[in-house]
Amino acid sequence: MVEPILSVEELDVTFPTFEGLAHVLSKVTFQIYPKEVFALVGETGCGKTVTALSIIRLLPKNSYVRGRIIFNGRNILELKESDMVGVRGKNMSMILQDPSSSLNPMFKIGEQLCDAIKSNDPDVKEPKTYALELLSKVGFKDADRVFNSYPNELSGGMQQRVAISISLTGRPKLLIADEPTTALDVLTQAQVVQLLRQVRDAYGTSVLLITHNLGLVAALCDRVGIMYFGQVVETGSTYDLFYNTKHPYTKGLLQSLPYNKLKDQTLPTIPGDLPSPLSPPPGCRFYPRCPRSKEVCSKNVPEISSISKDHYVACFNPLSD
Amino acid sequence: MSRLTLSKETKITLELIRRDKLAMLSLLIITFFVVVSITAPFIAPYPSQGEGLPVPEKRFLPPSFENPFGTDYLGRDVLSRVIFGARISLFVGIFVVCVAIMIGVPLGLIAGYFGGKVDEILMRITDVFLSFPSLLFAIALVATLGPGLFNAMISLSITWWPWYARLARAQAVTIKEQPYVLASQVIGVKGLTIVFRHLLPNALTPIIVQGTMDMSSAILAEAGLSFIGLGAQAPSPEWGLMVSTGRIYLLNYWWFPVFPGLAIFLVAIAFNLFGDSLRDILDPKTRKAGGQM
Amino acid sequence: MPLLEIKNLSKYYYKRRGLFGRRELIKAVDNVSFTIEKGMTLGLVGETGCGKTTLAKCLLRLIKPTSGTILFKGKDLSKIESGELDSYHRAVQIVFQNPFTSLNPRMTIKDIISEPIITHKSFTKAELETELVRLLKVVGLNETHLNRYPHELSGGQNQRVAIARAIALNPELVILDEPTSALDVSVQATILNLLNELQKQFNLSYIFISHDLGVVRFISDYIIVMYSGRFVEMGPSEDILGKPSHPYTKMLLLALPLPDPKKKIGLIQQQMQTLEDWVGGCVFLQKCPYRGERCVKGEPEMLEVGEKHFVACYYTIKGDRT
Repeated sequence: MVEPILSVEELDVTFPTFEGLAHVLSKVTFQIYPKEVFALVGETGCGKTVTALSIIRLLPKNSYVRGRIIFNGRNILELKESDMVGVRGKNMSMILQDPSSSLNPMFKIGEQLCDAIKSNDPDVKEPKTYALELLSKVGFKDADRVFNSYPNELSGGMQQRVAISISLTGRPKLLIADEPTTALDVLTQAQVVQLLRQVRDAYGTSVLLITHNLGLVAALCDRVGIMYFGQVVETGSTYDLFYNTKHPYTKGLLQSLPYNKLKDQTLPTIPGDLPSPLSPPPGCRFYPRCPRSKEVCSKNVPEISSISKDHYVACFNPLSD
Repeated sequence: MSRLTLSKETKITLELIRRDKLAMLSLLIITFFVVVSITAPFIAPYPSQGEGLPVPEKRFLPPSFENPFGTDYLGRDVLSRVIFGARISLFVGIFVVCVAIMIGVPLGLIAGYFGGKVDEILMRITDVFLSFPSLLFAIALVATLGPGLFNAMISLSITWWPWYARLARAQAVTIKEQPYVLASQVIGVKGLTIVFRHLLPNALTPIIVQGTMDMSSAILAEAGLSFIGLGAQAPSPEWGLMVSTGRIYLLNYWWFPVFPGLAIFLVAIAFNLFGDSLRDILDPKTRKAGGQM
Repeated sequence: MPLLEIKNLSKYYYKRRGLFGRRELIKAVDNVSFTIEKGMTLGLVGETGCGKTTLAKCLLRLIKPTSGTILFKGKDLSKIESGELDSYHRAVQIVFQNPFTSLNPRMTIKDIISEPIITHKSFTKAELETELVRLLKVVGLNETHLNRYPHELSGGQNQRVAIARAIALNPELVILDEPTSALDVSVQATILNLLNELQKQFNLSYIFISHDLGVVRFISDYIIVMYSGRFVEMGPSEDILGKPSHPYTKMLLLALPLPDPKKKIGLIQQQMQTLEDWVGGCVFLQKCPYRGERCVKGEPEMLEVGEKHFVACYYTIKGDRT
C-alpha cells in the first residue's frame, strides 16, 4: 500500500468579502501519490487555484482555513511560516500560468537559475554547471545561449521551460503547475506537456496540474480530480473518469465538448448558472443543476464513496455502468 | 443615456473611502471648509469686517474671547477674515482645476485618438507651455494682464491645462487599442463620438486623482501670487495676501499672518492627502489589496 | 454570387529593429484568396502571430490592405462611396475573444447594445426598448440584464451581450475572433449552440477564427489553415481533419490534445536547424521536417488535391502523402 505524497483532507476555505463570507472550498479531499501526474480539473469558480494556494500556503492573510494537508508526513497547515519557507521552493514548488511573471526581466536567466540553485540546493558545488545541465534537461539544445539571455528575449514556451527548470532546483517531491499552458500555442503546449512527463519519470516528482482543459488531462495525466463549486466530486484514474464516469457533473462536462461531433447536433449543456459562493445551496452543491437529483440531494451533503479501487465519487445518485 | 444606476464598482469605491481613515479625515477637513465658505456671512462673527471694514480703534489686539484670532493692522477680526478667505481659496481651486480640465482633457483625448497631424500640432503647443516653469509663466501673464484675483485665476488655468492634455493623451493612446473601441469602429461610430462616449469615461480615473491634488497646488499657487502682490488686492480677505501683509508683524503680532497661513496649510494638505488616498483606492492593482477586510 | 470574395489580399508593414537598425518588412498577410457564401461558416485556424487578426481587421476595414481586392456582393470595397460604407458596417460585424474587454466597462448593457441601433437608425424611446428586449431574448438573456454593468455578469453572459450587439443591425457576415477561447467548457457549448441557432434563424455567414482545431471542426463547413501570413491548406472540414495534407496541418492535429485517454499527443520532431540567409521559398521552411531543395526555390502554389481541397506544399504535390 503506497503512501500518498500529498493528502488533502476535508479542506475548508472561507474568504471575508465586502458582501459577506464566501465559502470557497468545502471539504475538499484528494490524494496524490509519488511519481504521478494528478490533474485538478474544474471551471471558473470551482476553487482549484485556491486549493493550490492553500497547499503552498500563499492564501491572503485573512482567509479562514480548516482541515488537514499532509505533505511528507506533516500537516503543513500547522507549520509556522518560517518552517513553511523551508518547504516552499524545495520539497514543493510551483509554476504559474504566466511564465514572464515568475522571471525577473532585469536579470539574465543564468543568474536567476544560479540564485535558485544556491538557495534551494546549497550542496551543489558548481551552480553554473548544474544550471546548464538543468537547462538541457528541460529541452534546450543551446543551453549556453539561454543561460546568457534575458527573459524577454525568449518566447512564452521557452520562458515556461525556464520556469520549470527553476522549480526543479530543490529536487521537489511535488510540483504544482497552475494552468501552465493556457497562454501557449498548441505546438508549444505539446512540448511543455511532454516535458512534464519527463520530469515525472526522470526525477520522480509528482505533478499537481491545475487545468480546465480536458484534452490536456487525457493526454498527460495519470489520475484526475474533478472540482465543482468548491467541492471535489469525483477522483480516479484518467481512464476511469473518461470511460467509467460516475458523477453527473463530470458527465455533463464531457458531453458538452464539441470534439468529434457534427454541426447539426446541439451540444448537451449543463443548465443554469453557478450560484454565488456567498450563499451556497445546502446539501449537494450541484443539486440545482443536476439532471439526476433526488430529494435527499437538496438536504444532505453526499459523502465520498468508493466505486472501485481508487475511483471515488461524492453523489447520492451516481451514473451506473 | 440611462438612469443613474450605481455600479458595483462605484459602491466599492465609496466603501473603500469610508474605511480609509486618512481619506475620511481629509474629506472631513475639506467638507468643513466648504461648509464654512458657503455659510460665511452667517457664521463669521463680524461679517463686514470680514469683507474689509476697518475698525481703527481695535488694531493689533491679541486673540481674546471677542476676537478668537485677534485683529489685524486695521482692527479687523482675523477669524472673520479667514472665514471669508475660505470662499476665495476654494473658488480659486475649483475654477482653475475645472477650466484646466475642460480645456486640456478634450484636446488630449482628441490628439491621442486621432494621432497624425492633429496629434503633432496639439503636442507641439503643449510642449511649448510645458517647457516654461508654470509659476513663472503665470507671473508673466498676470504682469501683462494686470494684477487682480481674476487675472491670476485665468493665468493659472492657461498654464495648467497642458498637464491634463498630456495625461489625457496618454490615456487615449492606451484605451483606443481596447476591443470595445474597435467594436464601436466596426459598428461605424464616428471618431469624435467614440472619444467622448468611450475614451472619456474610462480615462477619468487618473484625471480625477490629479485634479484633486491640483486643487491643493492651485490654492497654494494663488496664495503665492497674492503674496507677491499679483493676485488678490487689498482689501480682499485672501489668505496669501494676509500672510504677505502680516509678514512684517510676525514677531510682535503673530496671530495676524499665522492663522491665514495655517488655513492655507490645512486645506492644501487635506486635498493632497485625499488625492493620494483616492489614487490607491482607484488603482485596480492596489484596490484588490484594500478590498480585503 | 458569393457574399464576400477576397483576391490576392496582402498587408505589409515596416518594423524597425531597435533604434538604428534596418527596417524590416513584415508580411502580416501575404497574397491570400478565398470566398464566402451566404449561410456558410468558414473556420480560420492558426497560431498566434499567423496574421488571422490582421486579416480580420482588413475585412472589417479597420485597416487598409497593401494590395489585393475585397469584393462584397460583387462590389469592390476600395471603390466604395462613404454613403455605402455605412451599409457595409451594418453588413459585417465582429465578436471578440475576451468578453470583458470587448464591452465598455463604464456602460450598461442597455447602452452597449443600443449603440449600433442609435448609430444607424432613428427609433423612438419605446421602439428602442422593445428592440433591446427582443435582442436580449434572442441571445438567451432577459430584461433584468439591461441595467447591469459587464463586470456584474459572467463571461458567458457578456459574450451573449457581445453577440446581441453584433446582430443588432441584421448583419450578413459575423467575424468571430476566438469567441469561446476565454470561456469555460460548459459555457463554450452554450455559445456554440447559440451561434448555430442564430445562423439558421438569420441565415448568417460566419468566419470563425480559432487555434482549437477541434472546436473549428465542429462549427465550420470549410476550414483554412494559416501560417505566417499565408494560407497553407484549405478544404471542407472533414477533409482537413481526415486527410490533412500540409505538414503544418498534420503537426497541429497530432499536437491537439483530445479528451480521450486512448489518444496520446504526438509530436513530429520539428526542424531545429535554422537556414540562415534564405529569401523566398516556402513560408514553413524553417520548421518543416520534410523540407527539401525545391522548398527554397519559391512559394508553392495552391493546388487542388481533392474536391475543393487545396494545399500549398511541394512535398505533397510530389505525390507522397502520409
